[in-house]
Amino acid sequence: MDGEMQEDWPDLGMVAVRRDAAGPPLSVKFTLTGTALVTQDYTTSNTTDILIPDGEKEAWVTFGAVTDALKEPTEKIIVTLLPDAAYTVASLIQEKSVTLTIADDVGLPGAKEAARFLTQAAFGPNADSTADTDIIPQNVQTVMSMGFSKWIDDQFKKPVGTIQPYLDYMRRSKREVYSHHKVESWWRRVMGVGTAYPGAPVLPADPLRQRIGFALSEIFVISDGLDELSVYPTGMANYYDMLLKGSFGNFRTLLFNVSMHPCMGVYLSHMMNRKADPDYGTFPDENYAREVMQLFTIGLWELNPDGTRRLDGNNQPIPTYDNGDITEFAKVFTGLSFGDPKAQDFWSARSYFTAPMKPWDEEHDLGAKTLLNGVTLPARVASDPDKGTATMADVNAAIDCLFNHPNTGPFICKQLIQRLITSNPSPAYVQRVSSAFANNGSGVRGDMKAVIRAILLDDEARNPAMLFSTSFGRLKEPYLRTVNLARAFNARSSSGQFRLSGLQELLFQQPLSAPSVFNFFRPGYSPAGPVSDAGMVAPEFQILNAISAISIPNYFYRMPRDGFSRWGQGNSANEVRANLAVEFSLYNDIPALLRRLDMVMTGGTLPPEQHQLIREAVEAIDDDMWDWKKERIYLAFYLIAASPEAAVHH
Amino acid sequence: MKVSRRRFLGQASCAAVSSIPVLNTLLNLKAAGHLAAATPGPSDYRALVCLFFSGGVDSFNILAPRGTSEWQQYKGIRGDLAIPSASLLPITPTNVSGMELGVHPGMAGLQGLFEAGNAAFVANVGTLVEPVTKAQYFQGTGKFPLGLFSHSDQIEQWQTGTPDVRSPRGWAGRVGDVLKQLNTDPTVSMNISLAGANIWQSGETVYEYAVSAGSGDWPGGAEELQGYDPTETSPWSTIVPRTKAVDGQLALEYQHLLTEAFASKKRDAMAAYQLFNSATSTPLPPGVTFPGNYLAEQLKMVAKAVAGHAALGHVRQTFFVHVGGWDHHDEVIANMGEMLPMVSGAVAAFYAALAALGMEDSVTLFTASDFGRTLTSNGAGSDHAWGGNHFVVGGAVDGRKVYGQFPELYEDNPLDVGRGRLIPSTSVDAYFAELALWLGVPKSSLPLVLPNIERFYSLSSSSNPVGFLP
Repeated sequence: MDGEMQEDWPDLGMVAVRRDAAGPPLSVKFTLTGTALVTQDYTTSNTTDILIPDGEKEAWVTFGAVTDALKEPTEKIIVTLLPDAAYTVASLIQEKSVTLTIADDVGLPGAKEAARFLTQAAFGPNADSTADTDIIPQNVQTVMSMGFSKWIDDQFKKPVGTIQPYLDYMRRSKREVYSHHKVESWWRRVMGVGTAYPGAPVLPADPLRQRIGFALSEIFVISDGLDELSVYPTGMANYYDMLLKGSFGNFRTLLFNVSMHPCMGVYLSHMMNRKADPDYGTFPDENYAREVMQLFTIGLWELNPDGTRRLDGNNQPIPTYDNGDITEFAKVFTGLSFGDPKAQDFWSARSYFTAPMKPWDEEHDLGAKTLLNGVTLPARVASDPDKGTATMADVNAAIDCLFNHPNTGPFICKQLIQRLITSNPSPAYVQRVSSAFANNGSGVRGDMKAVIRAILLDDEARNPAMLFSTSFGRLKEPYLRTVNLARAFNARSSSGQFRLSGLQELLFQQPLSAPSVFNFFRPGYSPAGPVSDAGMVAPEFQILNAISAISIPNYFYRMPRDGFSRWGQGNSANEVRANLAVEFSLYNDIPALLRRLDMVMTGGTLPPEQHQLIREAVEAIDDDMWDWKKERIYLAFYLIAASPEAAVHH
Repeated sequence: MKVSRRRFLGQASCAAVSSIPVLNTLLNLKAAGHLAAATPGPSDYRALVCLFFSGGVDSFNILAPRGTSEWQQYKGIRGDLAIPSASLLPITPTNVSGMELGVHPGMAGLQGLFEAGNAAFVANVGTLVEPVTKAQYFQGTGKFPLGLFSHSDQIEQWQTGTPDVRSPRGWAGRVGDVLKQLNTDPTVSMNISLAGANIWQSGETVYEYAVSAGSGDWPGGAEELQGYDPTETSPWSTIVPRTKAVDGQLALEYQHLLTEAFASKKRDAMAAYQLFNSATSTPLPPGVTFPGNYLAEQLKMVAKAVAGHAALGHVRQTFFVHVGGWDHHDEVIANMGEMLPMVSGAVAAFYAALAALGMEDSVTLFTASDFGRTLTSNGAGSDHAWGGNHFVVGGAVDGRKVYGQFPELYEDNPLDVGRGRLIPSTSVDAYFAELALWLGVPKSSLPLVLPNIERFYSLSSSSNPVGFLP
């Protein structure tokens, strides 16, 4: 079932010993030969024989690699069944003998370790090249050869795979640009197509940046659920690209650009927000002031650097701000209008979604302001002619105030850990990452590269002991599970398009389509039952309900047959289909089929019970059934894709 | 990674009732002799429908002053957000004197229900930890809800009823913990949601069962697993091995907490969908029509589940329906002008459907929202505030009345803590207690459902917490 072992990786090698039908207990004898030596090179559950229990069809011999300091070639264990009066051994050599390998610890990750890393840092293993004889996907091999740290550095150097150029291309081609085009462009990038649009220059894929950018889009939420934004898809793509560009930059820049982007201005209504007007009894809009604090920087409660709440003398959490503070910040975010280059003043700016908002002192509250942590802003004088300099001085000071707040590091870092690694990071893990946020080692605060390295290379993320934890990890976001599958089978349409909008009806998720600024799920969501009883959170469960618990498996059921779109495409050239050519060729070698699917779909983590269950189901499809060769592949795909093991990553 | 065989399917969802007080409650409940007159017997069907306006609806434009002097006061504080008095639809509450009130011009359906005595308003309701004054607010004394004016906190607290503690449990979930054993069949949760997972319906032993509203010709309902059929036996069908394998996967026990929680959700959903869809398959009575909007589609599904309650084995149900998009920091007049007619039409159609089923006295709909909004304008929009107006609809409602106290609407009035943010004059605890009692929660068990209730209502009182469900 599982023949690849690695010295510094605790995942067990497994061999199933099977009989034709369940029966009374049966002891089966075997020999262990090969270059690897028991005790010295590996441990095993059984050395000479194994008992298939009463009523069972199979039993499993497990092997664990012994780590040593020796430089060794890859060693082999050969398990060969021996004849006995109680049973007859299969005659075919591949049925009575299997070989497991133990790779030496060379200081670089093995295949499963690399696949696990890629499911955290990127979109999981890719489809394996059909030219290879192994089952190890290309991107996994890249990580195996580079190691994690170098791979991250290499990703930092990749050019940005922006999504707006596809929408610009549509416009240049005289086609209407719709909201779904930004989703199609998003898919081109996460699939690593290489070109932003047909005929565009080819860029190398940038999966780490795409993964971080998506995570940021779930913190700095804007959504086409707001009609006023849905009609400006190019502007929303421009916003998303701003997040992608900022993914490896400084958090301060990111926060500033988010605050000044016209899409955020419209979404949280500080666009054309005016100073108080006593004549009309109006006050500055408080929306952005509140959410920039509550959701984008400091949160509601004062935090320790490890992300836990600070407590006052009565053991009560301490609010970070009150409504008076919001009122002060609301005054800061006044005087911003569209960045229309032809605008003469605050009011004459036309809707313009691809440049930052433009400041106008005429509508900015120029009074003195008291922000947080003792930061005060002086009364200012309007620039004349109006260049918005007083406005920008206030905005910059407010951004600095929030950026430098001690909460911002732990607040943001914990959420990024939750998106990439685990729902319940230990306080120590949060602290290590937030200290990288506070200082990248060269005295710079907010260096996203340092934060990303700290998250991905932390012992808690990398330690293989976590494979055996019953609480570490996260429920995969359903949208990312879908991307995992698309990449694992190199899904493409013959037209080259990715017409995959509308999946939120099935998945309850789609980039830039959250139901509110609170994203698809909250970082503190805890489902009732054992998870909540254990004091844990599991944000992604907020979109797992009696509908999605079934609609998502149904989608995976249709996927290998009909493709990745929700309803199928009128033009079949646009249907995005999984490439299952290699799998189809394995219809009669089911153990090999399952090993291959296990590697790309779960990183080789399916337990033996699932292997047995799926193998027996697939074997039960025989030539009595219509299209049985393909149905075998479809069933194996479906059962692994819908398995709980494939849904949770740890 | 070690897994072992699960004894039987669905075991995880059959956890025992968690606490002794709950058991005592049930014993009390089943001793019918102890029941007050207004309390339903164990086999009498009743249901609550929570209509949640997320985003914080500007509800002082749903129920607003209409008479000359009070309208001037309203206009004075609302400015450009005021609805012209001539546009407000008049209502004639029997318990309000000295002022004229009207409802939003787009809510003729609600006006009709109110005037016919099948709907009531509860004025200026909101979250409170304890009764507080404006002076306490500015002095920083007294206890106030956590995260006042914040969406996420206030949405949560309108569902938990505990504004002083963060909790993943809602008061309908706790009602479910207390009452669910009255239902003869636990397969479909007594708490049914048209809006996915929510806190309101999550208890210790109960969580929501999510179904879909229909759309156009698609009837909606529970999602069914494709390619799966335990009754299929054909040796030529791939359904047989697929069904066996799916059952096998669900029967495994998963050691990892998240993996097991994931499997458990699917097990529960699988067990419930066939029952739900067959129980709701009967068409609604002829002549019942719903407008074609998303809220109406949700309420139509609720009506089907009400009609199917006996087939579901339910004598108590709660339903969660949801309409978002009320966070009108901008263009509040135009947006509400578009959205409220949809709400009003859907609610009126729902009541008509219940009446056609003969169930209008057994179902009560109530509204909820994050918070009210500032009475003052930010220039075409309003910001997050506190107390707001809500309505209740049903045959059991003592209607054509405005409950609680409709506040004075001038700036800096004794309830105004700034910009027309009003301290609620009725707590959500009292509002919810009225509903919980009507559903059949014994008065002695109210503190289990609403832990802070005794700060607002004496359990020994002979009157109801608010009075709209006598």
